[in-house]
Amino acid sequence: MAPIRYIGRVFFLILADTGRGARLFVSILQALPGVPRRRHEILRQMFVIGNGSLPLVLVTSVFTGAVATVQAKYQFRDYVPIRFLGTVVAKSVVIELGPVLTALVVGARVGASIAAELGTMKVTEQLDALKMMAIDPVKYLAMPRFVAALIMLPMLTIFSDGIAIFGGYSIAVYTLDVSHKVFTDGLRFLFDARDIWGGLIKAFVFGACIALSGCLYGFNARGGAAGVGEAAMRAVVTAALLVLITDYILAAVIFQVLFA
Amino acid sequence: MNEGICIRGLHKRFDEQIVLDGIDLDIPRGQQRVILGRSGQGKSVLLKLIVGLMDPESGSVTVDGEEVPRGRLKKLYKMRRKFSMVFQGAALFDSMTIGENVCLGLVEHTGHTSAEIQRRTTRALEMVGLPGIEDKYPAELSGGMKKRASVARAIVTEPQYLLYDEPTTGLDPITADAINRLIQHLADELGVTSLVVTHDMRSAFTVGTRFALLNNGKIIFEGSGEEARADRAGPMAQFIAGSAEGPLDSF
Repeated sequence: MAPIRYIGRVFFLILADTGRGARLFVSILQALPGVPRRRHEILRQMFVIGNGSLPLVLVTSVFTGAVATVQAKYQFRDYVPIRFLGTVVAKSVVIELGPVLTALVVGARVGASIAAELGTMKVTEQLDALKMMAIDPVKYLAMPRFVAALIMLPMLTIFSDGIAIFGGYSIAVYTLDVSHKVFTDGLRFLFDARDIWGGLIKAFVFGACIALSGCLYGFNARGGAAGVGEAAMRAVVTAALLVLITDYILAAVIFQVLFA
Repeated sequence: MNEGICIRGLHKRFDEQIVLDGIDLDIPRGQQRVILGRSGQGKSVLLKLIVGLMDPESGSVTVDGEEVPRGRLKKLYKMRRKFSMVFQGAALFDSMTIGENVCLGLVEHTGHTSAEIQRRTTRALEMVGLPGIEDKYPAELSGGMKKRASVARAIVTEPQYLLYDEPTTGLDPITADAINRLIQHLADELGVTSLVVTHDMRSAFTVGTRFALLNNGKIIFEGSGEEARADRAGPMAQFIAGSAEGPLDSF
């Protein structure tokens, strides 16, 4: 019975979190008319999310582009002409690797940070203090973080795309004996602006997933330091899972329905 | 009773543990009421139920004749503007300066100019004996200063009801006495209704005019200071003496 009980318990917890997450999402949407009033806090959160994540995204993107190039060259071997190298690197980075890897690394950093900050506020009664001042924590804390993540994830993804392609180009030209012209011709070949839009739509949704997950677990943290730690851990795990699951759904919707 | 807080049949439980078991209590306007009780008897829970930070299993709380709305956020926030609360751990927002902490309620809910907000913030900090610390962060203050800053944040919006959750816990006796005098002074000067939760008898007799003793989820004593002192063989006598022997369970 124990495994069945365990599965049942996990299923119940997932269901409860889904319900709480959906309710929080609706509350954040209802708080959106307050964006102009909270613009300073939104800008501050954009700086925290964007500026703080730049070094991490930079390193991740350089190596992502480099690995994509090396792997593509290996896969091509004698079967695919090398002039397609730039094409494959650009498309894989813009459509998939840029948005997803950016979301995963930023999600870990920002999701944990939001959950830990809000979780600490919860366990030290700062959220109760806000409510006592008749200030809704969703409007005051969650909505600005949510909007900031929505804006910054696409911007970080554009940055990541550029750096990853540059990383791929550098590896191709300086270590794989691919000429500048061959790589850049490949980049231009089959270029479709919809690929970029598709990647940015993904990044926009991933931003929502990351902020929502951080706020959800932060607001529901319990206990002391251990509770805050668990909230941060759950926020990161949930954000990563949501990014991967929504990635599939968005890929199906965007590239098989919208842009088909 | 229309003016004041009226609690009827309040029940609260956490899983199997019954915390409040049918509390009835009236706190008329202008009264300085102290809720006494040992640790873990649900005193803080009672405060949170009064202001709708928690929901009861059953029972009702009415404030000035209006029932505290449960689950209707707009109405609840409107009602909460009559209240301010000083939390046990001060609950200052650590990402903000003391000045920002104190003026937040004014910034959010009033149309005052920034000069007026600044003036009121400065005055509130002066009233609690903390002039000129607007630019400091909570982490730079001692425990007693944090409590006083928290009181300044509570009074700046000129509430009708001031709730204090263990205002002297964790403070040295001199600072605790200063906080007690401050609470008394504010009650006299501002004329607010105070509700103080504590297990510190010295604090209770300094700040309160009427007392209620909470034990095992029920109010087992209610009366004035004289009545509390006259209860020689009862639970109040044991509580005042701080003795493990008596009608109250020690564990």
